[in-house]
Amino acid sequence: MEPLFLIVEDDLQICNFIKFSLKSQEYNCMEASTGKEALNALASEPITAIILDLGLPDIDGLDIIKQVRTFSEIPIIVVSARDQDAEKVEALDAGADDYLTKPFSIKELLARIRVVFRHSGTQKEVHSVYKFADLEIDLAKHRVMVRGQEVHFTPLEFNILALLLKNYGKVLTHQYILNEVWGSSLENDVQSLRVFMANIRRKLEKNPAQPRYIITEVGVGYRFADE
Amino acid sequence: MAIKQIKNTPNIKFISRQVAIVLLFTLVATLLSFLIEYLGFTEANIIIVYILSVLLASRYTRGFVFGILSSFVATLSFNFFFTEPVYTFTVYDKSYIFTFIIMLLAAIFSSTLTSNLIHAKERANAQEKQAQTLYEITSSLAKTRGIRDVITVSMQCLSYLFACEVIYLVTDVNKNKFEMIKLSSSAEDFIFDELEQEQLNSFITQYYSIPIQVQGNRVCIICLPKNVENSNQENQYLLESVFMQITIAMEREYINKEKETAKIETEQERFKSNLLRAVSHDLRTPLSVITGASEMLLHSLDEPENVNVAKGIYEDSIWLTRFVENILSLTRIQEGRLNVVTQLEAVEEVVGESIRQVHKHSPNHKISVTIPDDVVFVYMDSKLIIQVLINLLDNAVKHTGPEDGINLSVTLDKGKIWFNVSDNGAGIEKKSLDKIFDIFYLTDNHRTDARRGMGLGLAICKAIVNMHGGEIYAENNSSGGASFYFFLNR
Repeated sequence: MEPLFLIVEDDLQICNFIKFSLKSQEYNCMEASTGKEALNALASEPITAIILDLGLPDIDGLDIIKQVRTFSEIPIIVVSARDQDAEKVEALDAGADDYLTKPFSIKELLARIRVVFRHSGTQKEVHSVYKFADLEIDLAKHRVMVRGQEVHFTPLEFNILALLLKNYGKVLTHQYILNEVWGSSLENDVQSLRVFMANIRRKLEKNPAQPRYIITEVGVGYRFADE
Repeated sequence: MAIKQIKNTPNIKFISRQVAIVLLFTLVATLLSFLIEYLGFTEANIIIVYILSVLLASRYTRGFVFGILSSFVATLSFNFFFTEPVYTFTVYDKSYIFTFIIMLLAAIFSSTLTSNLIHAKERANAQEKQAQTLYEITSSLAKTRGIRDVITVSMQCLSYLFACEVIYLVTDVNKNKFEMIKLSSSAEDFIFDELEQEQLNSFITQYYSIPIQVQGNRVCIICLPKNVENSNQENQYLLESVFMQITIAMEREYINKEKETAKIETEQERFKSNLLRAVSHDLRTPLSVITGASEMLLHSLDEPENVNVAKGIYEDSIWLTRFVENILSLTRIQEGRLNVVTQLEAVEEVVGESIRQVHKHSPNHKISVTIPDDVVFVYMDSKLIIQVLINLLDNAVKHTGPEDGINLSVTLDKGKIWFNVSDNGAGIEKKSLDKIFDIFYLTDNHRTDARRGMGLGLAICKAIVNMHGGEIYAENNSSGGASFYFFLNR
């Protein structure tokens, strides 16, 4: 089935630009400039992914995500302004798959789209062994090889790494990681998560201040970079 | 103006008047006594009449001296006119000596009592009058609005009160001059003039001059004729109280004025930052479109010439986006420092994110990074510190070619964490070094790019770092290039 995108954006120019970039990749798309239109389109058309601006004139973007999630698991990529950090995180925790901050580049947009498709629906990729440039991780055997050398990971560190790997390319919020790995998400746990991430980074990266794999999304969470 | 004037009374005139009163009463008593003698009444009546004259004289003169004088005069007159031998100061009957002494004592005693009574009454009157005058001055000063009003009203008060010429020298802060305002003793016309600073000393020595100070600043000098200074005690007290009231009124006006100015300034400031924010906000969306569209063209165009045009648009739109973000941050900072929420952040994450952002737009520049081996957590607003690092790195990128090196290092020193961004580019001109963090400071030498002189980026760095309780510095490296470094408290 051909992917059909729904672009929900009230600014015509940005909408045009997104449409143009999607068409250049031969994706089909529809437009909606209000939340109402978007919900109508979702009800009537076979939409496969949504690109959603958080600042809509009628309905809060967050409510749209919540409504969509009641009946569908289709990928949602959120577009937000730079000073909407809190909303961004809320949107991700409410079920959005990824986010872009204005101004974003086409490369970024297309990369996000590839990632969400990779992790969604029937095309879901689940591996047991992940290989990147100088990294090889075997989830079944709990083994991490960095530049040909086996590196020891504690069980918790390994669980975090595994979670990031299974969602590689996709941003995971602090909240999400804490819930998945620890089963709880107390506020001060974010601090200990940071310590774990720092340790993982030191084991994987040549220079932890210029990470190749473990990317920090400041104020949001972490992403395992695949490209 | 219902203030009563207080007259200054010359001494000689005053004394002769008092003496005249004493003599007048004694004369009347003497004439009355002749009448009594003619009618054949007893001498006791004459003595009573004289004592009455002493009482009356004490009542209508000031000070007990004249009362006593009157006692003597009365006794002597009685002796002179009515005791044998008449018209001499001698007496035949020795019992009269006793009469004289008793009469004198009675006269002195009653005159002292009377004059004390009168004195107390006068004092009470004077105090009441002073209170009344002060009340009137205070209430008329309380109704004044603005410094000018205080000056004119207080001048009128002083002029009425002391019936003299009043001169105010008002300090002009901007010019080296005093504004001179004169009010004649009739309190009718104001005359305006100027006085040079140099003339001040010679001018005020001619007068009884009192400086009025408000919050340590001399606001004006009040000049009154010298004789006001030497007037009686009560006038002095009154004068001091009046000056106090004038100072209080002026202080009130100055504080009001300051408040007003501060209010206007905050309002202007708020308006400015609101405007800037609104403009910046509205610029974001079209900028997103321009950046996106030009990027798209960049990848879809074939001819190198066209690609270059698209590249120019793309790069400038990126620059403008950063600029807009900087303005937004600046308005955020200016609006309220309390809005900054600091929380513990891992330094390496902040550094990593900054480098990633810079690398996105300047992929050809190599940035080498050194950080401490251990994870370091520091309280900060991570978004703002990232912006500082991006600005510093962008600045370094602009001043170096891709072949040059940019170095970002983080070091720990006691309670501080130091960030240092250095490059080996052209360095900073010496005269620009201390001004480089000023808002909109433009360096004179346009080495690489005319626009990059916009000091806004560095000004924001300074504002952000200072807000975190840190300091930022710039210097040239001994081996060439420039270093920017700042610290945050751990």
